[in-house]
Amino acid sequence: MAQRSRNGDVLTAKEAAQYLRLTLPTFYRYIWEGKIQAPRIGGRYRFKKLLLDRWLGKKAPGTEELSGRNKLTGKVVAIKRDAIMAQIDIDTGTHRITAVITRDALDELGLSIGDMAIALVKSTEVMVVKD
Amino acid sequence: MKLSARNQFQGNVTHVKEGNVMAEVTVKVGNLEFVAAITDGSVKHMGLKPGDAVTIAVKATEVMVGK
Repeated sequence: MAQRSRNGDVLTAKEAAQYLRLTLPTFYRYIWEGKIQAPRIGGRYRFKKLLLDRWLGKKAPGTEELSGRNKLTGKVVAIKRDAIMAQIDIDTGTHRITAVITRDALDELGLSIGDMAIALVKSTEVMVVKD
Repeated sequence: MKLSARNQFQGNVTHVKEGNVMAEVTVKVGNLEFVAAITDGSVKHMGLKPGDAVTIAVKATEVMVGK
């Protein structure tokens, strides 16, 4: 059973088409048109689910290729902004983390209240205070 | 001591991995886990060991946001 779920990360053409909700002929057409990258293993198409997700433009939280050790996923609960900077509060369910990013970065991310977001902190920026 | 850092979480040290220059300190905060890379000197000076109650502090400007 565990084997099967691990196999779920790699899809056959038929499974990939189903996953993308395309008919198999449409899916193959997209491959021929170069819209979908299609690696072949021994003449057979195999698709990494992660790549299909990326192609769809959705990244599962926490799967980005970033080296930050501390990743906290949560919901944006507050946004405060001025001309230069913006303060974003992310609620992880049990904790609230505050980020101050530039206004430009906020606009580029297109973040709004209720969005899922990841707060990322490089481990060298984490201080330890002994009480 | 009062700290201006917006992000402060109380937790307990679970791991201390010491190197020559740096040490990696893992702190469990509720259901979250923080990793702090601090100097080995700091670990020695504070006498940090697993089980210690500590506060994790992160300046809000050091927090990146990803969507």
